[in-house]
Amino acid sequence: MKNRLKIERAIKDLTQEALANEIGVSRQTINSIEKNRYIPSTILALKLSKVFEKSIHDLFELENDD
Amino acid sequence: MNNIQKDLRLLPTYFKKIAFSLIGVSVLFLVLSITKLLPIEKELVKLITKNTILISLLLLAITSNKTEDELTHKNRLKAFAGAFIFGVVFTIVSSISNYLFPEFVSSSNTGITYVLIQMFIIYFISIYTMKKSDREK
Repeated sequence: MKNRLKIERAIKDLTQEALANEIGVSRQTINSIEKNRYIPSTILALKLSKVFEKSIHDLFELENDD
Repeated sequence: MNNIQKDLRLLPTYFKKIAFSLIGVSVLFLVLSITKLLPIEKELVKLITKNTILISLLLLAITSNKTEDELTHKNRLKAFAGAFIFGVVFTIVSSISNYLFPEFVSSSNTGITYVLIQMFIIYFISIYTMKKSDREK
């Protein structure tokens, strides 16, 4: 699954740490999502979409092998 | 207490301090008995030290971190699974090797305590490795 987290974070000028604090996870979790090493749960995806004021489809995109 | 702590029934973070204190006390106890400052039977010292270290490791394993989220939850489960698989493989391999080479059987590397301590070591190494790789930018 692809995601635009890094781009959206840059647009909002948020650090990984700041974003992590805002949604109550560790910086490692944000880093792993950005690196596509970890697919977040629905709850976390909804929290991210709320922070960036974007729909989940704008943040995450399925790939052919998903 | 967040949902993940509730899901895994993890202990609050301050239990880490209790676990380290227990390790400290058991090491002190061991040193005092080795230096004969504490006149206690050798077997009793062994029994107390082994059990205290096992309890401490268990406490460390089931105590929540400062930030406990779904990634740490996933890492914990992976590490538990790895440690469990290691325990089963180790038990099978050691029982076969004990049968084939009975002359090399040593009392120090057999027994449930030894297997459990190794499983905990595998668990902590796995958690540390996963944490480190997640931290890399």
